Amino acid sequence: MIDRRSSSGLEGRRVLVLEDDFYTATDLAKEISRRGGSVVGPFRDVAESLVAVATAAPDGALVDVNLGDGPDFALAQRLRDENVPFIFVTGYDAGSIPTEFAEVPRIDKPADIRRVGQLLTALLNRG
Amino acid sequence: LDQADIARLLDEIEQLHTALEASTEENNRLLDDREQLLDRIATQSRVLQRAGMSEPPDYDPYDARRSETNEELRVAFKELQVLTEELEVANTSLHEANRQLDHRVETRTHEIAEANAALTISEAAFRAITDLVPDLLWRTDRTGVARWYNRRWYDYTGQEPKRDSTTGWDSVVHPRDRAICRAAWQSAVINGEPYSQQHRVRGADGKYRWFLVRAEPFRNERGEVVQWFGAVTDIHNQRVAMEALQQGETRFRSLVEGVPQLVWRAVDGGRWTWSSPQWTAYTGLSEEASRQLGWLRAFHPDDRGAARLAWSRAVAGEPLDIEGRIYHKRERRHRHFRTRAMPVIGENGEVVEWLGTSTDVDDLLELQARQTTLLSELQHRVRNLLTMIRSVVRRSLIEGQSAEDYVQHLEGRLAAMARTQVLLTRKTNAGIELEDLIRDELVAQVADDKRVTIAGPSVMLGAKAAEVLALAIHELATNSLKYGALDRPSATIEINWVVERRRAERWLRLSWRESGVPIVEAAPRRVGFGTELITERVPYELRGDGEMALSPGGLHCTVSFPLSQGQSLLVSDPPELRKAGRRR
Repeated sequence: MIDRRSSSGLEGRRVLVLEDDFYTATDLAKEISRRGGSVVGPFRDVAESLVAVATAAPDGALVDVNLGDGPDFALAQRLRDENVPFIFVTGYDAGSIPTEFAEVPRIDKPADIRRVGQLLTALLNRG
Repeated sequence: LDQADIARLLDEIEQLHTALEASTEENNRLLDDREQLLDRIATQSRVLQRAGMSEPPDYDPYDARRSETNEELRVAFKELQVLTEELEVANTSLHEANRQLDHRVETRTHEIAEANAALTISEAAFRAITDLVPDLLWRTDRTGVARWYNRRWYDYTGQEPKRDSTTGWDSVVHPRDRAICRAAWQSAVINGEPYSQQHRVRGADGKYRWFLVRAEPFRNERGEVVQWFGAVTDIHNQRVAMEALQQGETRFRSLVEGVPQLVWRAVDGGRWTWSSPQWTAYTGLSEEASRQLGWLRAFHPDDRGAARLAWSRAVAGEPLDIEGRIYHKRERRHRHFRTRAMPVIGENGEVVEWLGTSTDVDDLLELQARQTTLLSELQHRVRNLLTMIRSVVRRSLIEGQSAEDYVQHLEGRLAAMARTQVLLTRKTNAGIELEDLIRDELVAQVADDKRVTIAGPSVMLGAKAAEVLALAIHELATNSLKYGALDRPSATIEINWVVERRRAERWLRLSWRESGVPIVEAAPRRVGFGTELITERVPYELRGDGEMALSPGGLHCTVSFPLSQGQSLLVSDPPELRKAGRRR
């Protein structure tokens, strides 16, 4: 792995990761770290991630929608309520996402991890 | 002249006859009396003559005697005079009586002649009329034996007037109708009641046509049946049309009752006028109760408003289309229905009525929803697999490794993943038997499995567990092969597992234990991808534990995780249906 600290942009940011696939979760966590951010998680379960929102107060999040038991938008709703910006990283198409989250950025799986990093950085540094 | 007039005339003739006989007798008696009177007159005359000739009037020795005889003669003469007068009177009265009788006979004879003439005329008129009407007519005597038919009867049946006039009309009645006709006719004749039957009558061409036969008894003044008049009306076309109509009706009913849809008819505003038996059988709502707007009660309360709205907007010429749930009596729940109706347009462009069907689309909607979900899950699964492959491709890369080794490792892992997919998709909603999974992986790599022992209870694995575990077994087997546990005669592998209860869950604990592998060869073993898989991915994705330990004799690996219910994504149900908790 080539580490390029120069292209950081997430310094001091806590980014929560909810992803049931181990490899994707690991890759996302590495990308966040590579960009100078700190990872909250990654979590495999919605319940654990919801606790972390309260305890770790993340600045942003990467959210998978399907965790093996069908679509679950509990974390997405919680993040919205807390005004935490986040990105959907999902294998579902746009039609499966409720219209209330139509504005949330979405990256389809299989995801280009670097693109996720770029999008996340842009989202958290937007203002 | 009617029957009563004729009877009256006959009576009078009878009376006249009696009077004539009485007059004749009186006449004879009077003649006898006259004969007797004439005899007595003749006798007295002879006595008188004898007395006058033998005794001169002036001689008188017997004067007294003579004067006595004269007196007798005088009396006799007077009597003769009286008798003669009586005779004249009798003659006169006899003459008068005869004259009156002659007159009366003459008058009556004239009347009878006139009556006869009138009768002849009315009989001719009657026949003319009976031949004018389209019906076949007949007349029978009081016992029901045919005495007369009109010409149309002969024309139609082809019978000969003389020969057949008294033969039974039932000879031209259709054999199948004959018995019923005879019985009905006999009953009518015995009871003197009107007769009415529909039956087929054979025509001159040999073909049968349907007729309505009606007969009325004709009674005299005393109420006795004297004869019967019958009229035979051709109803063939009406009857055939009626039968065709009935057949059409039967066909319509068969069709309506045969189709799976619930069929109904309505007038404007959705007021039902009729519904098929299936509607009642399906909803439990009777045909009567469904009329007007009664059918709404079978609709789900939430769908009634939409149904009424659709009817209020129904425009002539445009079909009606309502989606609404209808109560299913047997399942005691509402099912989704597609209700459609087409207006029947009259001659003036007005809507005469609506013909409607309600089709059960519950299964269809369920299947559509299921298909949508399955498609969505399939897409999800394919993307996850690609993500997985991408991850495996990246993680299989080891620095300093030859491309050949890299490809070999990668191919082995992809093959293991492929085998799992094949097992998972072989049957719907089927998990994978743990033993099958293990043997599949070993067979793929080891020809001789004599040194491998496998033991454990039957355990079904869900999709996720199968994917992870298959790859783990693959890594362990590859490793064993590489470091000698599978080709060294002294080495053995013991794979066993148990299912145990931890907290409220059933956990699988699987052990992979090598023995007989020299320490030297075991020591430098490198298990990068496999180690990560077992010690990190298993805990993360399966919420379990994974441990690997190198010890004298070989590797010992333990994997344990909770067994959740089968969760093959490809067969998951749509969430809303799962909530309904219903399966046929």
